[in-house]
Amino acid sequence: MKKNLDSIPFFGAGIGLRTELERQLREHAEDVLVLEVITERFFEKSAREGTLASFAKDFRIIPHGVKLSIGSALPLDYEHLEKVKAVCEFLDAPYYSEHFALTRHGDEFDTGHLSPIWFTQENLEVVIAHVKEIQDYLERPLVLENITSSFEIPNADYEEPEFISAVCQETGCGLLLDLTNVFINAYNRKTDPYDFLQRIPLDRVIHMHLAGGKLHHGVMEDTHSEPLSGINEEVWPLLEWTAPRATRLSTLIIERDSNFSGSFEDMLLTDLRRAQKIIEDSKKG
Amino acid sequence: MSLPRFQALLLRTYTDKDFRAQLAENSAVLADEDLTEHERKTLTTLPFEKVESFHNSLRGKRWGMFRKNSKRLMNAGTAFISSFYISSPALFVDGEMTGAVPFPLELLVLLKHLESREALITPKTLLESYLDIPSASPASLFKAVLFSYRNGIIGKKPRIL
Repeated sequence: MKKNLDSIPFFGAGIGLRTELERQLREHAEDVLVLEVITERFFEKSAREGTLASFAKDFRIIPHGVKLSIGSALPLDYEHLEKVKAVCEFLDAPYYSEHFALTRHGDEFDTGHLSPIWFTQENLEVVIAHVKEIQDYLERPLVLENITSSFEIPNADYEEPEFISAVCQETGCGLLLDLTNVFINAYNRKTDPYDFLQRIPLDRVIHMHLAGGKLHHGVMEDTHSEPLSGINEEVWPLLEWTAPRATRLSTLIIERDSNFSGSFEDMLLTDLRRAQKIIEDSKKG
Repeated sequence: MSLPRFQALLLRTYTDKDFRAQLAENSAVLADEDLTEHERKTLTTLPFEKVESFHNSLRGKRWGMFRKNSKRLMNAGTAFISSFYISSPALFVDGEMTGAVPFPLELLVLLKHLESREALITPKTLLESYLDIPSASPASLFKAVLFSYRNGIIGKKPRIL
């Protein structure tokens, strides 16, 4: 692996690039320090040379994948990885981010969604082997994200924080800490989000996500559709607590995947400025 | 090593309601599977109510993505679709097709078809991440167009209709 976690610079706060936001992002380029793109959207060379190249002129861009299914016990999909590598190289990405998740099983099943890994010793060994293999192939560190899940698979050997810590310890990979996912899991499971945060290696956090979810019949849903106010206000103290401890933090991205009807300011910019201030203050402190 | 088979069955519980019901009622459904006792026990003690909610959220997410993308695809691709059907007039009789594909697969196959045939008019979205898309057939494509027009997904009536 040529690049490592210590070589990753600080980029600051940014926004996830979505088709619906492209025009507004171009208009507000001076407010947004970094963009995150969904890697699979740019698997085709024409997409890289079109939209991606045009944004890369004005923004630092970090690729984020959703379909690697790192928890799958089947061999890695090198056809997929080859395309991931092409995007990483196009962007000269200092790291590549994905999820602690199972999304598909070869060609037999593809849920199209992130589902939880069974936290057993056997699965831990599978994930560790995959992370090492991916990092070697991509020649850059992998940064893995904690997901939301409405349930845990029973009869596990580890709890999630210990599983995540072991993967980091054995592979040297980084973490993408989605604080909204931490909040949502804690809310739905009636647990303490700070307990989760205290049990993962925060010094491995390279990237963070924030997004606004919705309360539906008493269950908090990870909809990426709301501003970080109301019930979503809960993520701010989590960020204030975490930022000074996440000493390697490079990038924070606010995600918005639906409900694009409001003004850009209300949807994203107000939250972006607030996040930027918190992480900048933490770097100064 | 039975972990891959375990994972396949686990994912099936998320997407196959009938299989999930069988599993919850009778663990004998796993009798012929090459699994360890630990894996077998885990599958039969899944929190099925919560898995059911997850299944519903998967469907909701797929449907949301489908609606979001289909509108954009349909609008952009109407001219292309029309020309496709004009070139295949034998595909329908009195507005009815043979080889019916249950809704909403008709639209999914259309999306896939558009994506494969006209990359430039499709949005660069994650269709394959969210949708199970079978290969396109002319019959299902036609039904997709007809359905889309009747339900307002295509705003403008394609010339063929």
